[in-house]
Order: sequence, then structure tokens, then C-alpha cells
Amino acid sequence: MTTRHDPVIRDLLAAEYALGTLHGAARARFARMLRSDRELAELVTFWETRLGQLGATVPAQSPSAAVWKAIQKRLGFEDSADHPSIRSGDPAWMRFGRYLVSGMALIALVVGVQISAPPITDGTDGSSGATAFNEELVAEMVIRNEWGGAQWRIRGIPGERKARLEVIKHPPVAEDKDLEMWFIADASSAPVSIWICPDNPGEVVDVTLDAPFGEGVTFAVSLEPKGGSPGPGPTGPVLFASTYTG
Amino acid sequence: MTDAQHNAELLSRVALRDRGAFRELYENTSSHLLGGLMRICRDRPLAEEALQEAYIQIWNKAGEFNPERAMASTWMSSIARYRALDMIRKRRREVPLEDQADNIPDLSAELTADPRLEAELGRCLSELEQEQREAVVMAYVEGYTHSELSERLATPLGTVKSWVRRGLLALKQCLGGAAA
Repeated sequence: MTTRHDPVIRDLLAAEYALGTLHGAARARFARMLRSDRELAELVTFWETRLGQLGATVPAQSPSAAVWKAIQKRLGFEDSADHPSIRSGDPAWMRFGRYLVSGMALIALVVGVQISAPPITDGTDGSSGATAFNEELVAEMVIRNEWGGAQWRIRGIPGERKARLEVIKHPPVAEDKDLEMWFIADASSAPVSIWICPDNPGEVVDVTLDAPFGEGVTFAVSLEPKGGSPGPGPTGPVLFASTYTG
Repeated sequence: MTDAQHNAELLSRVALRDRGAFRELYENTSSHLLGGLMRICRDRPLAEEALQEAYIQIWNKAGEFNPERAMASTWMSSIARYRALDMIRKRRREVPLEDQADNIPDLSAELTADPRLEAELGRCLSELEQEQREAVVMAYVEGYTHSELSERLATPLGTVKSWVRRGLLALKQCLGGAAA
């Protein structure tokens, strides 16, 4: 057994990383290991949680106004300082937020890419099913897991109320659970169920949306009882979410 | 809803690029984070720079926050603390350690009775040998390296390293051993 695999040494390294006494090249090396070693990351979280209580003993100090201004500038949303959010205080969004907080791993990796902009023509007979969706789609987004792996691909035509959903990889879930996909048109809209995600990579389905596909629409996936949420909205943790950004 | 739950909800909304939630989160948490950073940086401009960097990371990494693994305050404090440690170690502390001695209260003395600590950690800290407790608490709160601890405590480096490691091992045993 190498020191790298010795449980006592691993725990000690995790503790010294959280404490801050691991430094220099050793700290950088350990931080790299953390990216791929989930068990090690959990050890660090254990120590961060316990030692973090020591921080509660330190008196708070108010930052100067310049800090928030600098943060806004760096993040490029100075212009919206007087309008911080279209979502704040919105009842529907707040309801959704409560589902989000119970999520195991809320992911919002947004990969909204305009891939082309040809004239939009349906070219179908209007029937339902995957074959009825025009392949001349103009927008695509991918919902990824926390390690960056693509889980579902979503294609839509901006301005049209439909989307094509595709399973790339189905995350493992318990036998009595299903993953359910939700569409949230905008910050003031409640989530609407659009799919019980099948455990069948490659499977494609076309769905009708209750609002046009476009910038700001969000697709989220929650963990639900077998067969889907018993209620009108998500009841389980929201595991994935992604917003199309144009 | 507790403050902790509310901040976790805010973080989830930040992951969805909700600027209002981000501002509210900043208002709820920045004073607490800055208090900790001031202890490590001992310099307001540097501490505020670390705070700024921390919130940039919090905005960018909010999607990685997992409420089942950590509390929002722990997750955010760790980001801020690590940022400050990186900064002071790159720049080296501008104020020599000996000049700081009079300004730094010794947190470890009364710490175990501090009501803000959860009983379990307080009890486990109280069971450590005094030197071990002092070394662990000073390293965490002040952000000292082993070498700085050695200088501050006027004790050989090897001895200080041993205090820290034995202290951490004893803490782990006391706290239950298994990772959360």
C-alpha cells in the first residue's frame, strides 16, 4: 500500500488541506487529486465542516461598498445594478427554488450554442413523434453532470413551441425512481413536466413546450417516484438544470 | 426556513444565474466571510481583495455546490479561506509576525467554552493537549503555515508539525472517525 492509498495518510492530508497547513507544491498536488478522487473530496468536506465552526468564533466585519461594486464590474453586470434580478421575489420561481435547494447536485452548466440559422421550415406532416421534427434545427443545448459528462441533448427552434430531447447517458437511479425533465419558460413560470427520461441512450422524443424555445428557457431534471412526480411540480431533488443562453 | 437553508436556496438560484439571489447571498454572508479573512490577511485591502475573488468564484462555481454534502456557509467559507491563503502565501505576509503578537487575541484559551461552537467540536478540542489545540486553532483561524506556527510559538518546526498532526488525528477519533 502506497502512502497515497493509506487511509490514515489520506485523512491526514485531507485534514491538513482543510486546515491550510498543507501548502506549496504539496497543496497543489493534493488539489489536483481532489478533482478525480471523490472519496478524498468527501474527507476534505468532513474537515471543512468541522473546522469551519472555528470561523464562527471570529467577529464579522462589514466590507466596504467598493467590494460589491468591483464584483459587479468583474462579472459584467454593473448595468443591472438597479434591476438585480427578474427572478427575485417571483412566486413561481421561489417555488422552484425550494425544489432546487433539496437537490443533490444542482448543475447549471450551460452550453447554449446557436449552430445555424437557416429559414425555419417544419417540413413535416405535423404528426407527433421523433420523425416529425425537422432536422434543420437551429439551437442546441446539453445538460451535463457535475463531471462534465453530457446526459441529455436538447434541440429547439427559437420562437417555436417544440423541442427534441435525446438521451446521451442516463445516470443510474434506484429501481423505484425515475428522472423527470421539466421545462421552465422564464423566471415567472412554474416548471412543466415534459418527459420521464428513459434509461435508453440514443432515444429521442419530440415534445411540445408551453412557451417558445429561446433565450432564458430552462430545462431541469428531478429525481421522482417511479412514473413521475405525483404533483404538478417536482417533488424530489433537482439534479440537473441548464438555461439556454442563446 | 433557517438562514442556512435560505442561503443554500440562494446558492442554487445563483447557479441558475440569478443576480438578485447573488446580491442577497452577498449581503447575508460577506461580513462573516470578511471577518475570517481579516484574521488571515491582517490587512483590510488584502482581505477585501480576497473577498472579491471569493465571490467571483462563488458565482462561477455555484453549480458545483451540493447541499447534501456541505452547508452553504462551509462551502463559501472554504472558497474564501483558500483564496486568502493562496494570496498571502504568494505575497508573503507584509506585517512581520512579531509585530502582530499584541493585536491577536489567543482564541484557543477560551475556545472550548465558546457557545458558537457545536458542543461536539468544543468537547473534542477540550480533550486535546493544550499545545495541540493551540496549534490547530491558530493554524485554522490565523492561516499559519507550520513554519509560521513554529516562529509564533517559539518551538522547533518538527515539534509543531507533530502537534498539528497528533491534534488532527485525535480530533478525528473524537469526532467519530467516519467522513460525513
